[in-house]
Amino acid sequence: MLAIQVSHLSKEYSLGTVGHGTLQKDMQSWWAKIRGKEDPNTLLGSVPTVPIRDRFLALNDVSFDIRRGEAVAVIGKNGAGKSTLLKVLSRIVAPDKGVARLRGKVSSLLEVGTGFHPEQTGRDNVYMNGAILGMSRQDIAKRFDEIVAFSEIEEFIDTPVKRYSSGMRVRLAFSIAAHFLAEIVILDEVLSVGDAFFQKKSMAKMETLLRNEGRTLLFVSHSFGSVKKLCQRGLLLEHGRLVLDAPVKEVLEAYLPPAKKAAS
Amino acid sequence: MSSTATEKIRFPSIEESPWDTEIVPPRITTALNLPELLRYRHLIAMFVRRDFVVYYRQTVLGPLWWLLQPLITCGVFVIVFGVFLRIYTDGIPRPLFYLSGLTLWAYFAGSFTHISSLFSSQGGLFGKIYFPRLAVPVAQLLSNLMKFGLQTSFMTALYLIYVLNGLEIRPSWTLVFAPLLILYLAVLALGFGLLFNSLAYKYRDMSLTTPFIIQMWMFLSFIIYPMSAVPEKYHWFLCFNPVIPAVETFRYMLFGTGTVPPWYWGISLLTTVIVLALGLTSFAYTSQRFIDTV
Repeated sequence: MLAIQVSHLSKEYSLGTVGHGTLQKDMQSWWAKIRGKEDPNTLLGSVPTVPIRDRFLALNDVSFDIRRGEAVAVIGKNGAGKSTLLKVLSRIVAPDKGVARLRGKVSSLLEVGTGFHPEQTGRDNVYMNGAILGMSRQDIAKRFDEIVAFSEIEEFIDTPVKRYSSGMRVRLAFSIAAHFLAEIVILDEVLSVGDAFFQKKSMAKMETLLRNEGRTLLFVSHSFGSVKKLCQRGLLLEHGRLVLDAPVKEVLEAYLPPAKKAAS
Repeated sequence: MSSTATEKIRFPSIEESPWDTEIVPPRITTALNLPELLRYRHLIAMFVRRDFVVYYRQTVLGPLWWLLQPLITCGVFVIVFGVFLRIYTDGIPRPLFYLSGLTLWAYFAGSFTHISSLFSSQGGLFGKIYFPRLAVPVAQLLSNLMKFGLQTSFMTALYLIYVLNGLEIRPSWTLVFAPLLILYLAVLALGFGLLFNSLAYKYRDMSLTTPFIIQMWMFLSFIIYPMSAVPEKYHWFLCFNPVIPAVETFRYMLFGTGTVPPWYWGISLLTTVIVLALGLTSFAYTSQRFIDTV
């Protein structure tokens, strides 16, 4: 049974400026165009009649299926489109072409600690964050103690978050995210939070959450250790295109050779 | 029926269960998914609560500011427009006249201002996590409603004091329809706010002009003077301001003074519907796009 189906997904970004950023200049250009005059805002040296189309495809016709319970790593260089893919699947940005279909709720952990309000207490922020993740009040109340215990900040739970150290903040955020995990999990390098001890603990927590409860995972990380540990399958992206869809070992090998050659 | 039997029946239906989410290029329907917004009502409640808890943290007077702001404004109006300029108020005691206009105006202007800077204030959150974006403006309208309630109860108390001291003016029975006026202003603020917000995400000028527009708009909304103070030949011009009928009707309900011609309401309602449609449409597109721009 499929959890994620992505077909012909494309996402385009423009490189240069689309408009001038101020209404006045856009109106000026528009008014000049209507009267057939030269745009007063064109840059010197640029050819005025040819529209500048500095666009690139962050995702270029990407298609793949993910079955329920599969753990898939998205691998590629910086700018290959990994984060864009995760953002589209998390519904933060819309694609330009294509469709992605999801079965089940999605937890997207692109950045932990999102939506924390510094003036509110840890307790209030747990409830707020849970609500943003789509949880009901009862759901949150049920798991509240567990969340606090895992984050190891029991004594400070009624202190405004602005007084937390960054480590405490991250621990609480990760703990919230981990305890409200839905069927489909989208992870972008969030496992490296807190000190070494907490990193180990959070990694172990993630592993149990993913292995034991049949969740589907889509994971972006530059840490090959955690990729190998968590995922069986890999997707290799290059310049927005899906170039390889294979077991994670093969994908890592295909991605790595240049570095290996350089080392030997 | 045994439980295994129900499982057998249920299992294939899960296998063939439809997709829960379909991600497609920007469409209006995906951004204006009202059932989904309803499912997130708990989040809306949390936003409203947060507005209360956070807004006046570390202030000495706290929510008392909600009363002080209109009160001080009203006091200045009484001195400037009453004592100095002696602008006519339809025979209504000046403090009541100004307060009635100000509370209603504050609801509209407060909601409008917040909603029109939605992307710049919530951009960080919108860029990281998905939830129905409309939850934020809806929560804003609700938390401003509480503010309005507090201010109105203060005004009511003042009204009672006037009546006990021999004021002849009494509210009209039509006052029971006052919630409809608030609903009207909420829709108007939402429409205009979303429209301005959609423009502001591309043109930063808009965020600079909003406070200015609000200020000018107030002078043209009969907060300080009644409609009857405006010469008849200019009345046609006023139908461009959909806030006026709400303010005038509110005063009619409260004090039985002032009238609003029906055609005037007609034009304003039409304007509101158009503005709401434009606001929602532009929001539907920009809310799925603006992350790429900011």
